[in-house]
Amino acid sequence: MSERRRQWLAVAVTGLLVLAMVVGWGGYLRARATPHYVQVPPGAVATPEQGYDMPMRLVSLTVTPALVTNREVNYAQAGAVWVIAVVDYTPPPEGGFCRLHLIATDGRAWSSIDSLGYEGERVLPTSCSAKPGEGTPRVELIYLIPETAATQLAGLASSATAYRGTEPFWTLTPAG
Amino acid sequence: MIRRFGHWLVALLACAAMIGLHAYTGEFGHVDARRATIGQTARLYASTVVVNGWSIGQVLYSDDAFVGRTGVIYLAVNVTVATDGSERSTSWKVGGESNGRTFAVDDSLFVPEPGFQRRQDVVFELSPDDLAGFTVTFLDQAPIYAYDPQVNVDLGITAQDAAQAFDRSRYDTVRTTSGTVEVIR
Repeated sequence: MSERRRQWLAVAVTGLLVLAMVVGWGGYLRARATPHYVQVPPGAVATPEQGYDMPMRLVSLTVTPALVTNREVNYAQAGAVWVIAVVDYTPPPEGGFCRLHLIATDGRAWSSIDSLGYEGERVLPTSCSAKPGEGTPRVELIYLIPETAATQLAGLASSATAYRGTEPFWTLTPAG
Repeated sequence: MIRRFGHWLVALLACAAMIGLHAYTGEFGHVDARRATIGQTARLYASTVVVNGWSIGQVLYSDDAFVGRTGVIYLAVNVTVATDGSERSTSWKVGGESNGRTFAVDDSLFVPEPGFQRRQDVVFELSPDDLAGFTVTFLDQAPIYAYDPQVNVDLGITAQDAAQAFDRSRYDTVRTTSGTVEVIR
């Protein structure tokens, strides 16, 4: 092999190595930065919060135009509906925490609304504040979504979309 | 060949490293600023924003509650934010610029959830001299380092407009709304 040809070969090999590194790293960074939602079987227990060991189970997911509280019936705006998610959880010793998004099959994500979003109070707590042996480890998360999205709901998943990791985002699906 | 182009390669690598370092430390501008005018819809990450109009006065009511009276002027800018993307962005920064000065808003803007829009007012308190050429800026920041979109909406107020508005409305009451969410039709 001539000297010139050997030099070209070295250049080609180096270029290919650089390309492979760039593609590999790019793919890895993309996989880390893109939430990868995986539905658990209906009613199954999973730990959706990234880096926080609190098993949860979606008991029910109810779509309704009217949210009943101790004070009044809150009707959703024209073209919108309420989604009431009842979730059981096993709080860790330091106490529970949950901030779950409602996920649609097309990737849209809604955050739960706090109790200022409607008039009155509901029976179940709206935050995962129970500790082991203290309080009810059942929470009700309430969402307001366009009614056209009501047929496309996938379940509840972690809201920490800035979290970087390649583990799946476990998506809780309702029992039954 | 390597001997011939070696020093060019080193120079190129040094340049790339410098650009990378500048970007990493935030010394480079990391905002993609675009201009818009009143009534023009502009896109940020998952939402669009449109400025509908503005008004001035010295007394401010917010959702029918008295907020205050000022010795300068309140500028209320009415905007509609619509989230047609997949996830509400949580890090919006709204501000104002005029005569090389920057202004903060009294209350932050409410960004609606996917599929919803909200028409609401943002309020600035400023000297009448800063009304002409006032620009409202909307910056949407990604949760991690990114080249973020910013929209600069020039309210199109000339010195003459400002003088006329000041003469006509300086003692007016500005009534603002934080709005309610509506489904995007």
